[in-house]
Amino acid sequence: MLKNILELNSISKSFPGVRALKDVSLSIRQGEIHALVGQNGAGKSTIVKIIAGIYKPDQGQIKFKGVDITDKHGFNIWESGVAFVYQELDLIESFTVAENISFGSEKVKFGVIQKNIEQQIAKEMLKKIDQESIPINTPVSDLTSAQKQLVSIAKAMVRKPSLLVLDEPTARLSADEIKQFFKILKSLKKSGISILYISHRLEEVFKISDRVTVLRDGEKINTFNVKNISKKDLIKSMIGHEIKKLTTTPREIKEEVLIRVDRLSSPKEVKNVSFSLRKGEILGIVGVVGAGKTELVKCLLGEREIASGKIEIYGKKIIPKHPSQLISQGIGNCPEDRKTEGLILKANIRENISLPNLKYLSKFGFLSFNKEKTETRSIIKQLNVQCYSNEQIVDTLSGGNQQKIVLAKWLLKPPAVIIMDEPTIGIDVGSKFEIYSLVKDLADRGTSILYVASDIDEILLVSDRFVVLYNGTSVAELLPFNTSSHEVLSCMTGGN
Amino acid sequence: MYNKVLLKKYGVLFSFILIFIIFAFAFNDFTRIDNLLNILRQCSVLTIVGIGLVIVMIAGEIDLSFTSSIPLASAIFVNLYNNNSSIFIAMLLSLLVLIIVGIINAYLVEGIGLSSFIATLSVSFFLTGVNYAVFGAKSYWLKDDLMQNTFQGNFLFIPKFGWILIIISLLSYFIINYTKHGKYIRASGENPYTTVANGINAKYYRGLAFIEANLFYFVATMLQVARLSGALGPAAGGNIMLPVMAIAFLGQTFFKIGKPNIVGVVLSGLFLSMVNNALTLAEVKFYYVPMVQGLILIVAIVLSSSAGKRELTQIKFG
Repeated sequence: MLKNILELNSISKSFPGVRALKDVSLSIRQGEIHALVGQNGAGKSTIVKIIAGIYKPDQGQIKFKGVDITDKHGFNIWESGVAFVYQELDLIESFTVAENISFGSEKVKFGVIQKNIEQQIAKEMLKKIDQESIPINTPVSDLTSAQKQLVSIAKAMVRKPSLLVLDEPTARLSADEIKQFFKILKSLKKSGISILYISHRLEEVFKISDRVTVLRDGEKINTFNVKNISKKDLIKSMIGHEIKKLTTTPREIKEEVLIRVDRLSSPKEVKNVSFSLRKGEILGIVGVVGAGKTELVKCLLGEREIASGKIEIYGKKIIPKHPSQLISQGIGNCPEDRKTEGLILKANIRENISLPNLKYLSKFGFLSFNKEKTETRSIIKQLNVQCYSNEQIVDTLSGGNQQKIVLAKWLLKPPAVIIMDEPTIGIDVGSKFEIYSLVKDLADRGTSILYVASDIDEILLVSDRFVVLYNGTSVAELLPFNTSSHEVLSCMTGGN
Repeated sequence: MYNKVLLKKYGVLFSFILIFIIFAFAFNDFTRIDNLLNILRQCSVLTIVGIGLVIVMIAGEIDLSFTSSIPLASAIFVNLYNNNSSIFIAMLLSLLVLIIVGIINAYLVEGIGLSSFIATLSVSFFLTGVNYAVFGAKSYWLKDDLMQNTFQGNFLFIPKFGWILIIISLLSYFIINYTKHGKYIRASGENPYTTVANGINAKYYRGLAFIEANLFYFVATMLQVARLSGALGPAAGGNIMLPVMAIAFLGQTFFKIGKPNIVGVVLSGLFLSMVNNALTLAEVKFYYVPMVQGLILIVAIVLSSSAGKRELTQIKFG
């Protein structure tokens, strides 16, 4: 009989206007990897924050190792042996790796931090997860996303937790890094640590976890043994119905070229990239993390210097200086980082959506509030955004719904071209498919889309044609209908 | 690329050195040792207040209450001392008042959750009123020379004011950068969410910063009283407000761009004092002094931020 290490009994939690959790019970056994899945807004993050003591449940009880911890504060929960690695990376950017790893559990003498012990702990913890190559005296801001994620785990290990809560730990990792990461998780499991694993990626759930709990709309659907459930059934219980199939027949694309990029190079990351985007086409750009995708996008938008090569828009050569220059030419963009670049988090849905459309929504320089309201309302209805009104602050929406708002900005009055960088990062299967069909809809209505992503299946599903980036260079141009994901993967990783 | 980063990080330091060299050639007396020591002495009060303010800024807040709390603490000290209290009791009570102000600030900002700009500004108004009510719009002079004799003059060839500044600077640098307490204050200022997520009470450390700042204001108060041989009345706070704000914000352009730091504020204090000194040596009309100060501040910041191309030096306020 396996012991339960954490028990949530009938937890309920409401926020103004939203019922986040209703009567959710969950138990995690010692030494198991327990996955928690659900669509955006299903209540996954709320559960994590309730366990962490950041939110108080309205009802219900939390027991850890048999002790009631419902009323404990965030600062005390660590002491009991639960460690968290949050979705938003939980490191202080200006601190070094060593400073971050000991953060919160410093060894001091008369209040002075003992640097040698700090160094020793950092080395020891990184060794535990097999990452001794990470430099310990570098500020975290200089590390890659993957390294940051691993440092977060190393940090969590310092307090010798018996339960590790991981919120979307692989969102920023490449395929290779994920493999490595899973090895680490398995060895942690072997040493008796329980892991609560929250993820959108179902393949990962099947690969790594023992049991899986499904949440939908704040309610628990069921807990399954991973061995006894198929992926199809899991998806069905997550979204309540089966996913509609997307059409994957080739579409007819006109010959008219809107953007032509010829042997483009930036000083550092981008080398010799060429492609052309035709009218009404969805052109995929695929590559592993670090292949130069985001840098390429920044070059196109004028946020990065261009060293050589040229960019032609509507047949005219231009040197982009600023994103506004492109927007005025009918080229919109959805940046990768929705929290800092895509949205104004403290503003409401209506304001965010109308921002790039103010001219369209104004008469004689005055904003027409009625038009703004009705137009934004119809668009959020069309996109099936889960919110209580279009006056809701964007910050309080779940990740997938935020991403829909980023797209909605350009749907009010679709521009000729939209550049999308990782439009489905960190969002669940159901919303992903909604976004795919949205992108297809847009293309059918004549908007060309440059679709940048690292997920091969996504590119194969969405694009009409795609370019593979490897080490900053465009190495292949392929058609999704006669290419297998294995072929793409080998291109992405430097094979033929 | 590397040069740019270097220029950006040390740009203000370069202009500091450049202006020093210009002054050295322009005025014969400028590099005389007693003049240089004079620069050190003259900047000590403002810089110590600046260090206190910067600690609050490192914690991610701002504190404007010093503009009234320092004149009030000065008046309390001088009056108690003149009325035959022992010097220690007088010091203790003025320290106590400052600490209470710190606790009130901490409670308003971290406890109730007001914006630190508004809260400390309001406290500042309130204290000015208290000062007028209790002591009137008068200046008070010390009855004897004990304070001047204790704090003025030299020790080992360097003015005592200078020594105190040096010790306070080193001490605060050490506390902020090498102790757990300092690390938590830095973390609370940089990213309170992450700090709390790591099981650390960010509000507590931010609150402590408000209280700590008042220890620095206390030292500055004592030096100010010794320098002026008295307390100048409630309105005197206005005179220190702008220079202290100037050095605290100019300090953000040294070394850690856009981040308040101890070394930056100390160098900025010296910088401002150096400019004032040179203007005195040049015997310019009094109304040119603030004009030149303003221009030099702008030039120094432009020099450092233009190196970073379109990125302007971002300064967080409030």
